[in-house]
Amino acid sequence: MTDTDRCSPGTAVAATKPDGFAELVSTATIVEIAQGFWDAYLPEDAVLLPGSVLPEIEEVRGHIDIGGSWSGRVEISTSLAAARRVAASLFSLRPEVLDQSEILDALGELVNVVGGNIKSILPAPTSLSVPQVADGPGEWRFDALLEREILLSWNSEPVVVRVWSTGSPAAP
Amino acid sequence: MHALVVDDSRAMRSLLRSILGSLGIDVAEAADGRAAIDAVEAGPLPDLALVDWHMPVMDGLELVTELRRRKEWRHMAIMMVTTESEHENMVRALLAGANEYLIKPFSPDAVLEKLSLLGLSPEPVPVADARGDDTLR
Amino acid sequence: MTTATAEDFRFLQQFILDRSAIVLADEKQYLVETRLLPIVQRVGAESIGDLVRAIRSGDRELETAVVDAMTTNETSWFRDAAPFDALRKVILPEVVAANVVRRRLSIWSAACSTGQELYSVTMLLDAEFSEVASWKLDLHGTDLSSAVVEKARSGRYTALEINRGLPAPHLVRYFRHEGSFYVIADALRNKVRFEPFNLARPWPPMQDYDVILLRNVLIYFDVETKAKVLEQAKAHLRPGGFLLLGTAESPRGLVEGFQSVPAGGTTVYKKEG
Repeated sequence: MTDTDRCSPGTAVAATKPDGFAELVSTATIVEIAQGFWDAYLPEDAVLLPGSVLPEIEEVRGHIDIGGSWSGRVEISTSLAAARRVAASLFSLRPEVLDQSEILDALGELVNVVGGNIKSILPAPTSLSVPQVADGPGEWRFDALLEREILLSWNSEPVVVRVWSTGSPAAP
Repeated sequence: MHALVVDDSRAMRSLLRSILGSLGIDVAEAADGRAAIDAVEAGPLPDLALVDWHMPVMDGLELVTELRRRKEWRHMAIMMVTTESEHENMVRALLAGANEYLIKPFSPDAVLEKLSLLGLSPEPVPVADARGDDTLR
Repeated sequence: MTTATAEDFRFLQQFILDRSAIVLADEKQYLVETRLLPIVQRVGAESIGDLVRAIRSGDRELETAVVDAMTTNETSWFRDAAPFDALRKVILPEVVAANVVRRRLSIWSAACSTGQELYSVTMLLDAEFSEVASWKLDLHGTDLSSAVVEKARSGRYTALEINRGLPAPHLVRYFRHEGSFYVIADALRNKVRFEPFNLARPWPPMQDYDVILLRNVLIYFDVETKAKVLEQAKAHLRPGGFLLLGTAESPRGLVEGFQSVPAGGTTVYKKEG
């Protein structure tokens, strides 16, 4: 996994395998899924715009793993401020009273919705892990292909969706 | 009316609690399938269980199967509330005994409509809302 | 991006009225902000005032986007339940029996929006009136906006939309999952036709229908337009045909010649004579 696998803002790295992730789950589809989360849970302020630059710091991130006929990881990172606002909506609490665990739990549900919907598009059989969340930098712990790096902007807060694939898809 | 929300996400449990609560429904929570069984065994039978699919310890499909094994629980309505939307899996859940299916993400209005489909009508709770409905039509 | 000025709002009220005959009530000003701020953001404008200026200088695409945003709603499947109970228990049994020799059934969803109403009727026919499967079915949906009609034709819905009032057994039976969308089965999609249509303008020559659904659209027209629309609807109903309006809507006081029929927990209107 090297930095040369990172794509420029807003574009996707095409998988080289036929029937790989790129063919199955387009960038547009992933954006639609994310937009659906915002339309559902933050409808009064739901617009996700394309982002233009990777944020310098990705303050909170969550990921969920998919296994089976396709295996990989869906990660979403965003600013603490954005995660706090998402959590405020899900918990029906004012943003300032939320604690860190609530903010991270909400991020976990965001990752669950995006990752879970991606999982449901991939050919069966697949499995979905529980979401993991953390504040601070993530670790590149496995040898994986970055299939998508999607930069979005929500009221000037960055939302980055990344998808990695690991291993090869099962033969039909 | 009494509902049980089963989801490993606190945020989701909280959201469903506030949607159902605003309809005057009492809400109990469980974070996984095992805890859900314990909750149903311990208390009065819920009118409705809202069940996530992907949870640790016991997932939603296993939970539905378990719940339907008990004759005395058969008239409890079960609705899946999940990202799981692969066709075969949705069929599997309905065949296992789920009555309804809500795909995440869902708007709060959808929950009330599903309750109607299930023949469950909560008592209307008066809400002070100067704006009325949010539609032009 | 601030709130719309009173002048902007007045312009939009008139603009929407001109384009769609829909009256945007004064107390709905907040809706203008809710519905139009996403457009402001998406086109990179600074304010609703910018949108108004662009419309005034003739930006047709923006005009369409604004009309759509102000007149489209998130609709449900089998909306309000009662009308579909009315169809199931009273209307369809009657009109099917009346047409058993002709073997033809015509149903018009006259404010079809993004298609849920007409597809719901189609699912109802498929699931519970299999005897008409081999008949000639005119299942037509119309709405003011071409964009909305285009979406209805596509039969593609998001998770948010598919959750709204659609029984789960219908979801698995009649929809397939494509990317982030749920698409109605071709077998049903091929049975229906969607076209743009402006109810408030004089209607072109057209066929007659056994059932016309005209739900939740009359309330936004002024009294004169309402009466005209109802007259024309009556004229295009076959003898013994039924008109379905929204809850609490009625032709009473506007148009004669309808018999009120209680059905499915609501009232439907049967053409007399």
